[in-house]
Amino acid sequence: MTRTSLATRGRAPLGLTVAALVALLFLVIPVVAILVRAPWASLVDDLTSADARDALRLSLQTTLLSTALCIFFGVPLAWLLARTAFRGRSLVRALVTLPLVLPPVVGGIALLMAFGRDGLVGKWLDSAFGVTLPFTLAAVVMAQTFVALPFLVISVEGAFRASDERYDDAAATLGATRWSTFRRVTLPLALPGIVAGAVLSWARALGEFGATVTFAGNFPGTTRTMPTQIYVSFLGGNLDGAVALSLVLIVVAVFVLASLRERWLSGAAR
Amino acid sequence: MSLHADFVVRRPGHTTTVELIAEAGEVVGLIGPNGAGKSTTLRALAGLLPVDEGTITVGGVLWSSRDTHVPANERSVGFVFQDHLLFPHLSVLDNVAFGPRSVGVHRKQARARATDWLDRLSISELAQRRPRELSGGQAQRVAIARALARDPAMLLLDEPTASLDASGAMALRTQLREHLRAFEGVSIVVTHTALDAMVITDRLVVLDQGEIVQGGTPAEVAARPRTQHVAALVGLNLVRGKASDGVIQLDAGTAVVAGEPISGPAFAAFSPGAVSLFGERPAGSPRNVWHGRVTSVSPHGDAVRVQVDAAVPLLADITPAALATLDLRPGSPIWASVKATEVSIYRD
Repeated sequence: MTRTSLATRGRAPLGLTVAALVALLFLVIPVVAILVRAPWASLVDDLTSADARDALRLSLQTTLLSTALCIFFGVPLAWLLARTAFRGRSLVRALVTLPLVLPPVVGGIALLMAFGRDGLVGKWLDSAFGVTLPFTLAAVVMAQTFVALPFLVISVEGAFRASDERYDDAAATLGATRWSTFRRVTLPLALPGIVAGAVLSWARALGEFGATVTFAGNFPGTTRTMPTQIYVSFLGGNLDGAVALSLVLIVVAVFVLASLRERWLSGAAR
Repeated sequence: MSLHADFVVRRPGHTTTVELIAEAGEVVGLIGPNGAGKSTTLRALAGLLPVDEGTITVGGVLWSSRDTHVPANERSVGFVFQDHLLFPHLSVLDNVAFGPRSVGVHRKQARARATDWLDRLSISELAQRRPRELSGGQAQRVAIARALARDPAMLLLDEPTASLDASGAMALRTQLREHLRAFEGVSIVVTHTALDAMVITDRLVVLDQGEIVQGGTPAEVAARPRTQHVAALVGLNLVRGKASDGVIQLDAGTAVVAGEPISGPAFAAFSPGAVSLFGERPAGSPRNVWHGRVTSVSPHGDAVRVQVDAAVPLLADITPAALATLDLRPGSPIWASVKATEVSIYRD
């Protein structure tokens, strides 16, 4: 395609090419800079320091939990949006998308207003069960789920829509209930999309900072995840430590992109 | 398990009204042009669409009415979809076992039953394949096995041979007839081709614009078509008008003269082979002569089929020699005539 359009329509105008190059360089240079600046000699020490180890462990723990929550609750929501007709569906979709465009720190404040000790729901949780959520590990998971869930819902809804709804009809004529159809037909057909959505939302959860630090705080070992640890190290003058942890996140991001592109994104584009 | 259906389905833009009674073991063909309501009828019978009026009763059990809608998965139907809709993530065996599994048969027994059905359709060797590894004919056989394996009270087939090439379609047709004869419930086959209708079905129901316009054995319907669609399928010219004493006065202002005296609203049917074409107005008998223009010329077996746009739209089969003499091409002016003795007329 590209080759024929180049051949038939002539060279790309110089102005467009220059602007495009500027955009590309602007995106690439910072990543290159971090690789150049990385403390390669002390990298192992920086990553195995007590602070870094705690942050890595906590991030892994919380993001796996929040991704599981995203899948467990997000897939049904995506199914409802894709396969049923109800009043206000477009409003529901807009509400689902909101955290996607909301600044994360606002999300953190919102979570605090809802689940804080004095919050809309938190007050009741406190008086009825004596449960307080803010500044706990649960709060970290909640903050991550809040920002990551939209990624999963949107991409899984797309996967449900892309798979032919008439397979559901075929399953129904074979005697399958709607639940059984969902489990045995709809879900397996949308599996690539669900995996892609899960990977995306995991990556988003892993990088989550604003909502976490606002709602869950910054306690070493319980709520200080990798992004928070990076920020703390940076402010505390431990640039090597910050850059080393950043490298880990960059590697993860590249891995996520590569796996999505090869296994799922290209499949969806076919 | 007989079928008593008498219902109306209203969809945006069209309404389908169906009255259909079929006895157990009967194979009924639904025939008609696109948009006639064939698919709507199948979907309503299967429970994939609710009915707005009337009822569907199978084996004495009410399946559909204005207030009742037994969901598709609780009806005992087998549905063979036009593009077969085999589940792409399951093997052929698991596709066929899907129905029995859904109605509560244990996995092992469901697989045994599926194996048995694959065997009956002579496709056992395909059991472990995925649907994407099947040819059109194989996929359609798997779809038929899948529909039958759940032991339905009624079988619904949507254009089972449409996606196959001519020889593949003929082979499937023959096999399908055998299985539908053996099937104890009612079978409803939607079809687009005259051959399907002739080979597979015991009885035809002709749908046009959402209504049943004719019913009868395939031979009866083919001999006396009442819609342009069926006439075209069986290769006949069909005109409609008001007859008095063997002359059918058409709405277009011309008349068709037939050999038999008949009065009232009537159809006149004649084969394309009975139509002769002339470059100039034919001398002699002035009856049943029309002036028009050629719209298309195409080979048709050993003959050449010419489509003529006259006061009535006509198909004429002429010899290649006649084509050369007349020098016909789309747009050529032409005279067409048909002998009165070749026209069969019957009441509307």
